[in-house]
Amino acid sequence: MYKKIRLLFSLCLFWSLALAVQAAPLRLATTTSTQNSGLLEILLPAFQEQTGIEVHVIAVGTGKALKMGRDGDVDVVMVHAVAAEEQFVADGFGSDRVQFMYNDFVLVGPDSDAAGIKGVKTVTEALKKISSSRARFISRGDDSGTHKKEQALWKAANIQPGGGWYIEAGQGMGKVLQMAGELDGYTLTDRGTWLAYKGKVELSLLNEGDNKLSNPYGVIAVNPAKHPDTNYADARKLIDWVSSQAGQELIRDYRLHGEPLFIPLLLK
Amino acid sequence: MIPDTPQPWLKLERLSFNRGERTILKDISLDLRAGELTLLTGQNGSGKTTLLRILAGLLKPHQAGFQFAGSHRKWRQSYRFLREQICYLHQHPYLFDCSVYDNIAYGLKRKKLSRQAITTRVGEALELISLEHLAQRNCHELSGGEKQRVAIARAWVLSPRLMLLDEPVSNLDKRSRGICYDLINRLQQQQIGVIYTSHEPQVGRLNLSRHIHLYGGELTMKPLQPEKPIVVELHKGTSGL
Amino acid sequence: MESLSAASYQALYLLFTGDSALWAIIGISFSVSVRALLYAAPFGILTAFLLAYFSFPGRRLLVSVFNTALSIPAVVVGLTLYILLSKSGPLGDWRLLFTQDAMILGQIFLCFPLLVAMAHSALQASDRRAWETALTLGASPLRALLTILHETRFGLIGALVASFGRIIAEVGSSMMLGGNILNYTRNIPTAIALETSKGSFAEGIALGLVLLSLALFLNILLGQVQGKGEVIQ
Repeated sequence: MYKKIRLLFSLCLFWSLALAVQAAPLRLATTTSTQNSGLLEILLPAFQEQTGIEVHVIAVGTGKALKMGRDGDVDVVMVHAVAAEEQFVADGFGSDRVQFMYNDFVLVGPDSDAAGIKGVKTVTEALKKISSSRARFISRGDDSGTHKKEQALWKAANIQPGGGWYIEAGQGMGKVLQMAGELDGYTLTDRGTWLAYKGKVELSLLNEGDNKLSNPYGVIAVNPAKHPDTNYADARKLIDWVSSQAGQELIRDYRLHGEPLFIPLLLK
Repeated sequence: MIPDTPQPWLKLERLSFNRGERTILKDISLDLRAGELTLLTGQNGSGKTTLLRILAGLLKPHQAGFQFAGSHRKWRQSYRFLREQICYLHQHPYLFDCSVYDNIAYGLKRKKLSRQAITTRVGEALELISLEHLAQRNCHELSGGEKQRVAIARAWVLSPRLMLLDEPVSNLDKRSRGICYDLINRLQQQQIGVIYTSHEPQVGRLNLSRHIHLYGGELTMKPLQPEKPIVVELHKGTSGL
Repeated sequence: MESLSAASYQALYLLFTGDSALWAIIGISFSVSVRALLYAAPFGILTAFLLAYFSFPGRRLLVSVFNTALSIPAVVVGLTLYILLSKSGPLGDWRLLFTQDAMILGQIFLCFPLLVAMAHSALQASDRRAWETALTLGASPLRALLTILHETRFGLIGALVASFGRIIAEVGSSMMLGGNILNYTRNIPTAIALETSKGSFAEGIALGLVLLSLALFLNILLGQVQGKGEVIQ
């Protein structure tokens, strides 16, 4: 009996040692919409195959992802909120920021389209129509990249949204799409989440294509000067790889529900 | 004892009660008259409590007929009447978690009497049981004898036709027993009928009208016997062991 | 990691400077949960009473069902009601989804089993003589029921407090059914979830503190009430 326990104990010890010896994985904080797009499931295995570096993905809101970077809880962040990213680097928490791809936002809403935004040329005009018709608009309201984008768009349209028609949900993109479907409301969504939810919610794509709706993605290493214990070397490798020809081609060829989703920015 | 027997106000006919396969009460008939003090004896488990609970309208019998106000009624038409006219007092009375005053006033409040009338009536009751000084005390602080007296007063204020006392003195000391017996005799003087159960025929100085005995599910009348000192001795002897 | 103490300090500052957004969330939390409890309590206690005082076919099964329902996760309740209340669901015409009423409904279902189970054990432990005494003193069955409730009030208050504790702190069904809408269905737990996802820990901690002090207060209250019950009985 005693022998067995000792054997078990040493096995446990051996196992933990083996785990410790193994290279520390690279911790990547990203947004839920990036995770939900499915792109990482293509990119990261290819990256690991080439470099042997395992990446642990922590998918949270943009605000929290950046905060994890600030606190040194992760090694690298991949987000889509230009102003916040620039602030993050300016404050000295991030380094080696690269904008490597973009996708776009779209306006979706009920099939009936009471505000009549379908076919309207600019997103500014579409938002004006929504607010003047007081059609319901569901906002993320969670400080996420999409929420920040939406706020910037309202600002550009010179509208201070508020009142009964403007609903601040404080939830993720998928939830907000469901809510818009249930409440017959409009919302701004990234194309990736929209493609994933298309057909599952009673909404249609009503407005797209305006330059203002572009959504560039940045990847930023956590500054080793602030947090020396982070895995800067591997973070740098990831940044280089997604900017490389191989990485960029993977991004270009990625399809979600048969439709292209991301456009690489660094393809030669 | 009432010299000339008046008409019974309630007749109980062919009452039976089974618990599972066991017959507890078998075809019992009983007449109840105003101001009658009945002693009901029987061994433990002979069905005394069951009979009282049925009489009080708290337990549905297997079969029974009731006759009051000159007509025959079934259980469904009777139990509300029984609950109104008859008060059942548990062997260990249950007093509500409030003051002595509020306990005694409980039934009166259900009758929607004026506050003034309730105060007067409760005052009379407290005087009857000589516990005026404890009116505002919570009932959990009372002794066993005091609880029994409060329970009797709580029933008395409702002027029931009949009170069913289930071994009221079995756990009381001698002094409390004496007080209880006096109280029961006074109830009878006020034309309130009493059925009083005991598993022994020793009943102190109660002014009994009749004695019935429950055995094997059947009731038998017994002659009233004068108090037997021997029984008292025997009782004391056993309890001393 | 910004220090916990700094976040807590900022949290207290937010609370005591009367940050209106914070207090609005606290207000919604209380108004929703108190209403849910008010709706659930009469039915829950009545159910518990029937289970404790009357025997009818299926009674034991029902008791087991309520005891099992104690461990149903909030998200399952939330999801089930979501499917029912969704536009495409059978109750979609009620248009309840993402309203306070939907949250209340979810919380009713959440606290009901706990309420029944705890009230049932309190009533079962109560003295049957109280019921008979009330009846023999001329009380109607309804009045006798109220008397029993008064006699078992300590246990019943315990059941209410525990139920309130469960629903004021649950996030799963409130998030799904209420939708975490600002100034409407955002309550303390869903706001904590949101603030955490935004990385604003101070607000999260401030709300957590409110919940924590509430839990402390309720537990002290419960201890007082039940302690008092013990002394008397």
